[in-house]
Amino acid sequence: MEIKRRDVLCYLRYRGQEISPELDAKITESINICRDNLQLKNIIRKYKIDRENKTLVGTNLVLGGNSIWKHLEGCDEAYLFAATIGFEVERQINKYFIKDRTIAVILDAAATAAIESYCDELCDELPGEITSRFSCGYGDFDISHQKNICQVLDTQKNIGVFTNSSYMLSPQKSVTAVIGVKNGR
Amino acid sequence: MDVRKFLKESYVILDGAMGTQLQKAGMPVGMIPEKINVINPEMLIKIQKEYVEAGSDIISVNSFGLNSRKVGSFDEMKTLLEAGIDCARKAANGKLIALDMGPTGELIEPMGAMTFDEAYESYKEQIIVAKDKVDLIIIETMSDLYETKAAVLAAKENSDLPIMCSMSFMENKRTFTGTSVEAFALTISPFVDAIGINCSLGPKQILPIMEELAKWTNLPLFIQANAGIPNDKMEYPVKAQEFAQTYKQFMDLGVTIFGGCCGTTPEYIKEVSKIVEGKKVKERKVNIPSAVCSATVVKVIDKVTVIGERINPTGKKLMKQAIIENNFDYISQQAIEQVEADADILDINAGLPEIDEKETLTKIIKFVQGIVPVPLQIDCGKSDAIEKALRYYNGKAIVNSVNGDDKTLDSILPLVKKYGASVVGLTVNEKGLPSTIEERIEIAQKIIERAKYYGIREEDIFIDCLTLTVSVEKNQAINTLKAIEKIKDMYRVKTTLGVSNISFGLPNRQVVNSSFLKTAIAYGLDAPIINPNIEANMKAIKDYEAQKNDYSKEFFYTEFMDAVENNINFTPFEEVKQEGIDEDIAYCIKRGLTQSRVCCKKLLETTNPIDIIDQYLIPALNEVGDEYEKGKLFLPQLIASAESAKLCFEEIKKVMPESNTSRGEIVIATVKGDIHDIGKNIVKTVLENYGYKIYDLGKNVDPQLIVDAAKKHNVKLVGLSALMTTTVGAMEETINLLRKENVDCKVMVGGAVLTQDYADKIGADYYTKDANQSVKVADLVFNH
Repeated sequence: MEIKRRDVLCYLRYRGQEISPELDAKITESINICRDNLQLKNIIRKYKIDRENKTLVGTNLVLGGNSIWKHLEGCDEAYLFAATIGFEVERQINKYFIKDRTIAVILDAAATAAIESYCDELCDELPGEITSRFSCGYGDFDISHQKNICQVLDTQKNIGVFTNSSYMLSPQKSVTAVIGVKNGR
Repeated sequence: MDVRKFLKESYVILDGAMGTQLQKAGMPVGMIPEKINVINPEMLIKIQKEYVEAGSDIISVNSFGLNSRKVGSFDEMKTLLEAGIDCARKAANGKLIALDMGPTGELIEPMGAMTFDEAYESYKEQIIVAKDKVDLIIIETMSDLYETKAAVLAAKENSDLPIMCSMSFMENKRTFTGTSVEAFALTISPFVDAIGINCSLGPKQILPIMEELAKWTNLPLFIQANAGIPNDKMEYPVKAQEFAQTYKQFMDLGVTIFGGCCGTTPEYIKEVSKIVEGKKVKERKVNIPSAVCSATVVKVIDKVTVIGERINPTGKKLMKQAIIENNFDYISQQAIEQVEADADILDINAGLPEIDEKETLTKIIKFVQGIVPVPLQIDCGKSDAIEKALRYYNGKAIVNSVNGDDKTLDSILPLVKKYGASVVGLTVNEKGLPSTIEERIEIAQKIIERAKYYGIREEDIFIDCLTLTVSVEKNQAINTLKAIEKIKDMYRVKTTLGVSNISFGLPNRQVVNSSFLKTAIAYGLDAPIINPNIEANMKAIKDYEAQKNDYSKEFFYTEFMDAVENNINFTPFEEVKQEGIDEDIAYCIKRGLTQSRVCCKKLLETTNPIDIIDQYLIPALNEVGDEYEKGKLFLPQLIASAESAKLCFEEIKKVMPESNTSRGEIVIATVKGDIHDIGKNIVKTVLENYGYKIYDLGKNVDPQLIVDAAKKHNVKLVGLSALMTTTVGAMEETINLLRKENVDCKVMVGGAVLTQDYADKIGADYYTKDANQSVKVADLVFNH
């Protein structure tokens, strides 16, 4: 998996400013630190969609709101998706906030680039015609679904991803999503 | 029945999976499985009975994921747990039943929001409900060592029941949070009766991990593997017979307790029962090396092990101030520097008369263990402070120290034993430091014998023979060295020594220190306590390694005595002056260069510090801020400039008291429930480097703590950060509490989901869209 420099700069809201050699070196170093500390893990499971009960068959998950159902139009099945880059990068970010805060900030962006790139890669490997990833918090798909999705996938046991009372994920650079599988494949 | 004896002396069969069996029977995925205890106890009892019939000696209560936090209340937890216990008892038919506890489901500090105490309380609640109704406690599928420690401590301190504990590992022999199997064994063995591995992997993948575990503990070992790793249809590939066949290899490793985890069924347990039938347990005994650990790093004391001494306020003005003010950034900085200079272990000392040592020492330990991975040494003589530090330490620590005085031995050694730590014994007693070799050895013997009486192994003792300065009495050094040598001959203990004392009062101390360090290692010193950031110290250790095969210890001693002799005629070197700094301070700050420090030093020779702040630093930072606002600079450049300015402020603080350099004091925090602190940290960086003094309370901070800090420091401005809609509520709660308690301060808020409208709605005084804006608000509040 590749951490693209362009993506890292994008998350730092780079707008073509002049980058000094010193900063340039730090960007490279941050990307290297991120890459060396990745602990990529994922869990993806496919379920039949039960529109009537607004659920996925065999789970206790109730998908609330309209946005998610709009997203799943024309789909009979859906993947529940969770992925993470692990705790180690987060530890490094914390460490660099004490050691070199410029690197800490760039490293945080590199970690975001890493998880996005990892998710894209995983989705590319899924067979058939699929929708894009739809995550909690998009549209009216309430953030509280995050907890249920993690329970169904047992992310804590399977990939070491936790939710807290505010529905935040740990490791911070983790993603959950619903992905529709289009009919008629 | 004596359950402990049973676990120790017999082959024991546990049960197999419950969760996957319940799902097979129709329980929907994602439901809290313990609800079955009440909704459909028959379904549960049926599965458990099948396990009894298959040969299980111990049936687990269906309580793995149960706790008050998860099900909403203590009463609900109690109802479900008691119903679960009833089911297990009914099914067990005279067999033993175990309270089964897994992870709380929330992530523990420092990465997560749940505190160690909250985790402890959560486990304690279940234990209190169950302890008179079950025969033992099984704690399993743990992946975080700190949470595991909370669970086993809760079990040990709130019941007399036997405890079994297992963690889940990945194929790299580490858990998700990075704990190695060795660190698990060293940290948890002292609290439990059997230790094991379960879940995550199939038996074949667990085998090499178990092999490792068996080297690090003498407790009975247990295994509960998955039926292999499932495919995406949740089918488990390893069948019952193959499963049991692989377990035979575990028997060869000395594993005596067998069960199954996800994907296993009564059929698996039946096959496993067959393999142990008629077999007698052979006692297993391994020599566990002398070692200490953090949650992720184990240090075996089999070569020179450097203990970094810098986190100690004695004679260090800045460290003293940092400890008094709870400035963990400064302390952590010292920790990181030492580890990067290859310190193996860090000594932590918070011994200052003006502070509450018990609270402060533990706070520092909790902070430092979250930042650096190396094991820590708790440097303290007070038993209450030591106990608290040991309790919150995540790993196996060293306690520094006890001495030959009965009172310290009998108060501190039981704590060392309880928490399974190592301990330093100083060869000194109430009469002081003895002058002869024999007296030193006598005290060491007393300490070692007493430690063994309390159940502490020789391998977990470090004897410190202490040294006086060689300038007072030259022959004292050889007494220390010979005592080290003799004690190492007599016992399997390790030795430690603070090295720099030797040169006290001499002009060129480092030459003496280096040669003494080499000599002491030659005489058998294992763990020198030194400053690893003095290059000569680390070089001396390397030199010794290179020379040790060619020279005798007497040679090193002669070299050392020569260094002492020559020292008398020594003239110190001139400090090399930095030359060639032609860039100005503003340029350095704007470019974010670290040379700003040297520029500032130079400028201080000719310019008043206040003028440097007002005429150089602030204008440069303002210019950077403006350019950032206009998009001419982006975030890393803003931060680099702020960091560059910080170096200047550090130089200025050296010559001027802080009260004169501070532009104002601000409390900042990420609110309760929110664990994302990057935004807050960026704001802190920029404010701090504008010369504001920041009290950073961290992330996930309770409203009351924020109010208390604002009152205590009497600040005019509080900054709050929240990332998500779900945590803005806690922000509002904090603001309300500040107002209710009449704290006379302004509040600025920021974070991804906030807007001006939102900020107004929750009663904030200022909305800050970014770090730069927060400086403008601060300048406004403090009239700059």
